[in-house]
Amino acid sequence: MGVVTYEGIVEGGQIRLTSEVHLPEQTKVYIIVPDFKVERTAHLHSPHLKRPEQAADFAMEIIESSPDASL
Amino acid sequence: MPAYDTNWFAPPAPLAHVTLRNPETGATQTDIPMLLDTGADVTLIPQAVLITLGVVVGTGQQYELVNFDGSTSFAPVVRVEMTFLARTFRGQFLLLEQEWGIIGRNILNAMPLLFDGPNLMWDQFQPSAKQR
Repeated sequence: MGVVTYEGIVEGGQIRLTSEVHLPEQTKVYIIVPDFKVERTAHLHSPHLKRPEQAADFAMEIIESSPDASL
Repeated sequence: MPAYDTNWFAPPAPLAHVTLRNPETGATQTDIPMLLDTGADVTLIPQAVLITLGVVVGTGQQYELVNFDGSTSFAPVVRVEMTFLARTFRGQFLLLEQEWGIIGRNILNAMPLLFDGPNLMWDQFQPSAKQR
């Protein structure tokens, strides 16, 4: 597999190559991000309501689909 | 039977994929990963989903949550519909900023579920089908 490296930057969620390069449509590319620290975000697990009496606010109306209903 | 998820969770955990719908516009998004968390009081959905659904988060009420480690946080609330195991749940859902949501006991307690840990699978519990 031949590999060519180009430099680019992320702008507005899209990658823009900094050099004048035209890649054909559907070209497969691989992204290598140097010097990037992954920001580990806190993940919630088993959260409880601080005020248990608020659980009533989350009572659900349940609508059951018939077994042969197409979704 | 849906398999437990091993990409995000170690040990593996039961993960469902649900459909969310904006009751105001009918906009839907499918295949949203949701952890089946019997330790969670309520159900929380990933905030990023709201963009697709076109749901605007109001500046009104927030709910204070206590995490398993005792830390607290505030979560905004939205009103959407969630389809899970052929049932549509209509009501209030809290928001959280992570890739997957959490289905808590306000929904889990509405249906029988089977957690087959040794086989890393889960499904709706259907006793009649089991006896056949």
